[in-house]
Amino acid sequence: MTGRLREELQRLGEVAPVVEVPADTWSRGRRARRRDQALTLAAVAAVLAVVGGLVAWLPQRDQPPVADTDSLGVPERLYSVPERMSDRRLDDTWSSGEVTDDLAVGVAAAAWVTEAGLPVVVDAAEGDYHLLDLPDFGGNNSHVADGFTPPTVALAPDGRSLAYSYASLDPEGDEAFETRDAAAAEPIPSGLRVLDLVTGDLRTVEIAGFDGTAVSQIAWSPGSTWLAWVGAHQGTWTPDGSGAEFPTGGRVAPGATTSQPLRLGDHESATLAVDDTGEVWAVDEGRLVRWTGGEPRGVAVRGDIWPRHAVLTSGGLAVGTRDELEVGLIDARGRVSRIQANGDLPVGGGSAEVLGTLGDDLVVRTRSADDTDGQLLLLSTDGAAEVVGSVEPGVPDTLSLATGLMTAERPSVERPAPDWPWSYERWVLVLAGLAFAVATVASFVTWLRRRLKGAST
Amino acid sequence: MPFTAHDDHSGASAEERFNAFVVARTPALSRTAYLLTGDAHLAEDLVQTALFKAARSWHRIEGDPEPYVRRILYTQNVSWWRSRRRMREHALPEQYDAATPAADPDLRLTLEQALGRLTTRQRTVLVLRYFEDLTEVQAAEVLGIGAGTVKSIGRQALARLRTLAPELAELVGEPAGGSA
Repeated sequence: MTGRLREELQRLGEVAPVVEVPADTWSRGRRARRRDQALTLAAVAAVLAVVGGLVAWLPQRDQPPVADTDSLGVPERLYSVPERMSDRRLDDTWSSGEVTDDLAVGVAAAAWVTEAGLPVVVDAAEGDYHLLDLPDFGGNNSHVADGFTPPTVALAPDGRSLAYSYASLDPEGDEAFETRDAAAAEPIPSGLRVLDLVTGDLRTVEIAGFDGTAVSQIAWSPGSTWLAWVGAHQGTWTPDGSGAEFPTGGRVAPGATTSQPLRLGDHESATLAVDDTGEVWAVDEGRLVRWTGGEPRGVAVRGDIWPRHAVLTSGGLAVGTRDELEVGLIDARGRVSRIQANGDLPVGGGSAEVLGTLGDDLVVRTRSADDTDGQLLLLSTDGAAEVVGSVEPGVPDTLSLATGLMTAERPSVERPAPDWPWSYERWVLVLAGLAFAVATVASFVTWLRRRLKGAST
Repeated sequence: MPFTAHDDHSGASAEERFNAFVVARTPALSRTAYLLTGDAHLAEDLVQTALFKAARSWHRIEGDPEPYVRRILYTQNVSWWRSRRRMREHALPEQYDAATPAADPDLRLTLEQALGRLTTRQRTVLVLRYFEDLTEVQAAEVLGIGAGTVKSIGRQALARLRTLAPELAELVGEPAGGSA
């Protein structure tokens, strides 16, 4: 009977020795409790540190709210585009999924061409970065992009149009193009195209001459009406390379589909600007040429200049210099004066480029010689300077700005940083880092618990 | 009068209530631990560990701490059984759990010796059912297993006692009544 079993168990239990309980059991228990709490806090802190580190490493998300479309503006900071966005497939086409052929991006604030030849447009409404697959853009061909007359883009000051150099190096349907006899073949259709960024419409300005024309510099008039350009006729031009180059230039009237040629002679490195009457000023290190459509008038430049970007002002042609705090001003007689920026500005031994005007002020981009950010300055003729924005050093010197969207009261606007898709390497690093962090925390906690447990018992 | 882990209006601190509980209940806990382990040293370890854990978690115990401490006794004992290291250190009786020749005419075992040859789970169920007087459902709740499992283990334990020590058949009853 199990009743007997119960009695026998009771009897056995009665003879069991009474256990001696150590007097410090309570204090040891409370110490262990405090260690548990400390361990919990340490684990939480470790997890927070890991999560916090990852969050800090991820692209900044707490960006300001996006402005509505009524507040178009130039972003106060321009970011460089990661090199991987300019990767190409074997057939030279762009491989990044971010590159789009949807060209109607709206009014733009800035545009440039990456070092690898990919056009970038930053819209003025939201600050989004658009990587454009422009039809027949010269940079779509890697040989042209890396050539002596690299293709370029120029954003009109009103931000509504983008002019770019084009060359139909691989016309659709021309199966014999790759093996064509360069000497006997027709010239490559090339010249300028003007993209309406609001509608996506294209205007083609074909520039005939030799085997084609590679346009390497484009300037808009302040009112976004006239265009001027310089480039080179190509003696021999195939998809795989080019031969002799002959400097040339021209101007394009508002809405025109033809270019009026400008004889530049041997001034192949000329920098030019055009005003809203169509008057073109072209300058190189020794000579200034003014052209209104008739015979060009040239004068010697008396002074040391560094012709890069140039803008026509009431005082003459403003050009950049190799001093990031100085701009040159060339009058009609070729005399050079200088505007020295005042104030507490960073000095990095770099250079200055004039991107446009805002009233009587010049919009100047400064570049340091190191990898630090450059500035966007409003520079008045008396040297007063105001920093209104910054430009990452990876933004190349093909940068053009919609200075017509800038006002004295609001020269730049706050916009979110671009959110590029993660690279494969970044994914691998993040996942590996996360796994390592979790494993480290788990190992530490396990080790600590065992140690504390061993110490307690 | 049952103990309470927290304020019982006596003005005693938590430490004083813990110490009072230890003084009052250690003898009973020692008996249970001894029956669970079949070894005085293991019983001592078991009670000390249970009380240490109770002290560490005293702030979480509501009401009478004894059910909490007893549950630690039962589960810790099973846990130790699962620990191979512990088994090596203490040479637990379960190593004799291999089938003992039932037909050995010279085998005469006392109940204490027979209990020592049960598995820890079998011995624990017997202690809960016939020493602590818990129902199958209560025992299942304490051990965190199903009531059916408790019933099954209890039946196996009684059957094994009959096999190990036929002379104890009177104590454990007939097979049909093993789970009563």
